[in-house]
Amino acid sequence: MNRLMRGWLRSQEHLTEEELFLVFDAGMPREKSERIRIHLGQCWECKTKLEQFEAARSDYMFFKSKFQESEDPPPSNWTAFQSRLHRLAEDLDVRDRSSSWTLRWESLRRMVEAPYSPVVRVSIGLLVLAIVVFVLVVRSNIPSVSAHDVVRRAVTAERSEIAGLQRPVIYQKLAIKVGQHQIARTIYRDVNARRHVDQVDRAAGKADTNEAAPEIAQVQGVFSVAKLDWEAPLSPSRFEEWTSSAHVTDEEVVRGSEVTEIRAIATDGPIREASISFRNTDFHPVAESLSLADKEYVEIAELDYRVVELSQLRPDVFDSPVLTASPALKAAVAHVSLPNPVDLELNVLGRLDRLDALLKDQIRVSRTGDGGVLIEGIVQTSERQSELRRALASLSAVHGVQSDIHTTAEAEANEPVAGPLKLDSVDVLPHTAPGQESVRRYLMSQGFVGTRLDSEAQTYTYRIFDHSNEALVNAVLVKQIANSFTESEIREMTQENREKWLDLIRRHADAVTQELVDLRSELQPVFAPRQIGDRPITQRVDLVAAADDLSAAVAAIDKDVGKSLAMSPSESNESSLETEAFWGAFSLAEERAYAVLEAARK
Amino acid sequence: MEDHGESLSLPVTMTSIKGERGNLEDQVSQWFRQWRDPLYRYLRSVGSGRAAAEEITQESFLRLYRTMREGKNIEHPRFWLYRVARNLMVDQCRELRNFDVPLTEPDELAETRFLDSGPDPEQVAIDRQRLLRVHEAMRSLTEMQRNCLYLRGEGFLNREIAQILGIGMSSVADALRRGIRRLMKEPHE
Repeated sequence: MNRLMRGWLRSQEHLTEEELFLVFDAGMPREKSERIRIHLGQCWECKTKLEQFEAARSDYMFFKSKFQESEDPPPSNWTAFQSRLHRLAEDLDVRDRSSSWTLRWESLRRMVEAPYSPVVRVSIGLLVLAIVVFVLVVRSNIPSVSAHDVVRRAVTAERSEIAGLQRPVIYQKLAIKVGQHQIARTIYRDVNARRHVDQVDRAAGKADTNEAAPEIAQVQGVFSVAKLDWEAPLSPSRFEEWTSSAHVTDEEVVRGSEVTEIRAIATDGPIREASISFRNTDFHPVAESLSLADKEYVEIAELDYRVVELSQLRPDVFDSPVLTASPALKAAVAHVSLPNPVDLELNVLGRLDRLDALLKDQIRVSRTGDGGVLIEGIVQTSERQSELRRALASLSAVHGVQSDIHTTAEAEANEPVAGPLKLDSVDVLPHTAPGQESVRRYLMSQGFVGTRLDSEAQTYTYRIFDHSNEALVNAVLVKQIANSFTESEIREMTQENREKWLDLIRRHADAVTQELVDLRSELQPVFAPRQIGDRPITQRVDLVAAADDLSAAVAAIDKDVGKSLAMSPSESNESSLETEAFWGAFSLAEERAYAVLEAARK
Repeated sequence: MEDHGESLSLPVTMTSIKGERGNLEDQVSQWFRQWRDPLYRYLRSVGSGRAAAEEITQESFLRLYRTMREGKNIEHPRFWLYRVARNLMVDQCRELRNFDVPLTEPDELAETRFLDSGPDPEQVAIDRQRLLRVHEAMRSLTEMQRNCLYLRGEGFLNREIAQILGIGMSSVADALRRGIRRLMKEPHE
């Protein structure tokens, strides 16, 4: 056989999948490309396979862009990174300085230990001694201070200023920034009589100070836990108390031309990093910043500060805890002292829901008798426990919020605690469950036989359980969230709170709807070949009542699915998936899900 | 696919950054702004929870800064970041002892939002079918196949994917081929 014939025969051989993939992924070696090019030009079968690879890649990129990228947005707030990077840079600076001194010392030691004559050694020793003495003399003229020294000087300066007056009153005006919110506070403190007046002047970006109240409450709670003084937010002694009580791993004093700053880093507690700045001229504290464990950042800056005689002020200045008569201001202060339980509960629910904790963990949020909020729960791992605690840290610090989240190991060590969504355990027994007969018949009609049939039936069953279970868990959650508040609380909710509440309901009602759609599309071809159900949705119903009905309807479906496709120790086994009653109930559940969605959108 | 962006065309060394702390901080901050979101999405796509993905993303950039401060030469910072992030994720999974557990299921809610967003109902229905089919196929992929596909889709070469994942190039090619085959409408076993 000549070479030409052999080449022709080779070009007629089908390409292997590996070869096709190399062509597809542009990695085919050059020497093979000619044969492949000729073959692909002639063979429709291989060309079709190649096109299928390309179609699959296109599908994947579609999925990646539409689903993985567009619908799972990264966090919008990455601000913690800058502070971490800056802190790391400073740590490395300190380490570099320290290692450069070590290197110098090592080279000096090597020099002294070198085999020089005794005269040279003595000369070197004297030279080193002279240098050390010179350095010490120079350094003694530069005032160096520790964090403790700075704080002591600040406290002393404040006391001496107060000591010169008979009835000293400290007047202080501060700007406080928490995340995106900024408020201005004016504080009067009667030092002798221990009286205090607080005024919130304005909140940047807010229509009124009411809206800033939750943020104020959060900061106040954090101050309380960290033993910082809400009445004197820039108090140097309280700052020192915090550094003593928290597990502070790093503390440094940075002396600038105008201010001296103390920075401290803690490994636990609600405050992870704090810095306080003092004016160099009189060691008066002028600014403070706190980086909180939940990644929020608090900045406090002094706008004005004076110590005056009480007689210089209006006589009624301390008559009311609030200085102005503004109703909004009074409301804000009231919020600060005792946060609204509806605000708190919505805040808690929102934070937990963002982490899918209401859905995936056994978490229960309830109201305590005194209007507070109690969060109880069991999570699988200590990492998850920390994640939830971090999310709730600033709220837990607020008066009235108690958090009691355990790991399963901790719970087992004490006493098993029942979660809110305890579902019956089911054992999948494909051959004995009554509905499995229909499943297998349908799959056989689709061409599945033997072991493929068994595995396909099992996969199908698990898929049904997944959809049914997800629908049920979300429906129960819709009911719980809808019933979290009383009728009067719902009526009196602010527009913002109402929107938050409805948003939570919408999210999970939406999930129920989608799960029911998927469940119907899976069940219908097997158990209801003809189109049944699909009632028109015309009724407009009360949201809370619809949520209750939805939960009951989905629970009934889940029960029927379980009875038909799996053996449950607590139920008798009969398949109802082919009955009119089941599909009627299914349509009702769908109708309720849409009704809840509709009502939550109003 | 082979283009990794302009910033990768020149090796990044301490010399090019002049070793200045401020410059290096600015440079890392700039990379952070540029690559944090794709890196976060990668971690999410291969199973990290939101909080873990956020933490690992930040930690990877901090390690990049630390390594460059130590004077080490990093030729392709983006590729380096993915490798470190992947290692951090593996370490975390080992700690949680769930490395073999199927990765995070795609969020059903996200699907719903996507499906509701199209202006043309017919197109939405077609897209929905397509999405559901790929979604279903993705669930059957191994963690390695998902990783390889995602990184390939991000523009990494097989050689780079192999280094990021700590496996051989032939394993990458195999995982990609099997992954793509599973995504085909009529897979050829």
